[in-house]
Amino acid sequence: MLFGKHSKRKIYFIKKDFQSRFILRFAAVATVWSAASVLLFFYLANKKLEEIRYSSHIDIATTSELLMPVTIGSLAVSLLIFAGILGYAIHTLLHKLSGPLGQLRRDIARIEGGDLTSDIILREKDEFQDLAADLEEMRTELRRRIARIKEQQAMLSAAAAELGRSVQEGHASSQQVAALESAVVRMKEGVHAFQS
Amino acid sequence: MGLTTHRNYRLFLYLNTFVIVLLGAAIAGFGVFWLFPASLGDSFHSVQAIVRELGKVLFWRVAILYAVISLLIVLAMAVLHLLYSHRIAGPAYRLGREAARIARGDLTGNIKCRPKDNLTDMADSLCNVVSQYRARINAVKDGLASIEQKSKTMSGLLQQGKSEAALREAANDIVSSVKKIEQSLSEVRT
Repeated sequence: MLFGKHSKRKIYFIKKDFQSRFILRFAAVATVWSAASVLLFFYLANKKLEEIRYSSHIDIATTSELLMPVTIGSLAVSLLIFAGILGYAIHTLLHKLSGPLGQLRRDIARIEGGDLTSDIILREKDEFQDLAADLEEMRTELRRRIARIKEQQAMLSAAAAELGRSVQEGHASSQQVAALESAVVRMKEGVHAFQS
Repeated sequence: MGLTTHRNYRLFLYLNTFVIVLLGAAIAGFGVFWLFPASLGDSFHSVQAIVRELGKVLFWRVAILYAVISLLIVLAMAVLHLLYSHRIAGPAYRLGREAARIARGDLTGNIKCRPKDNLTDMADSLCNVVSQYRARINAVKDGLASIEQKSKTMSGLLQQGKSEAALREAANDIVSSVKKIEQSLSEVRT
């Protein structure tokens, strides 16, 4: 595998559905944090204001003194909860991506091992459906092309075996050699469908 | 584990997201003091009046402040997570493109990954697919070239009416090349 030092990214929004869901997950967590912070702040601040309203002695001179403990307290609590939810969101996101990618990796390994018989299909709601479709297309095309070469190879084997027998029996003919050459030409057509 | 991420991907995703919200929280904290008057007044009654006034406007002012900050956070997150999601989506896109190239029968290339990309193990596996099938196809091509050459030799020998021994040798070479081709193809189950 090559690491392309000079291949610069041009399009960042390349898999729109996947990336939108990725972004929305974190945007939703941040929005929930924001709403929860407002509610918590309002609850604590209201409580504090109520205390002051019904107290007979007030030793607070500025809004900073009044709201700072409430602000810091509410933000600290909401950030702590956010930290936990964020960790969970990242864990579940990466776990959700692991399943289909693990499956695809196993499928690629199977193809690498020479098995072109099994379909590459993900579960309906899995991510990376388009990658799975591309890999499935690759598998079916490889299978089709190699199956064709194998068919031609069977004819080549038959022609070679017949020629070999005739040579052993001492009556080999130019027609048999021509049949072998013809089988080679047909098989070359199949093989040259690959650029290697 | 199916998703092989670049080193520290998860940690930096976490930290960068948290830092954005932390900055938002800091701005919200300063904003609260900026929104409300600094002094509560000198007398008990003025403090009570300001506290009552504060109670009336507190919720909406703070809600609007957080809504604005929330919007900024979401915008920052969109940019940040666009980059982070691209580190998975980009390699996945290029793997798909590479698979399409292999489907067209092109076994010549290597898959290019960037230093911060994820899914490098899948790219390696696909590179191995390319090299394995390239090796098989090249073995078949070599075998065919050898058979072609030997069959031409046999044609010449037959026309010249040369010895049986030379014909047998050429025929054996052809059979041997055919077996090599068979072996290369038998490794692939279709």
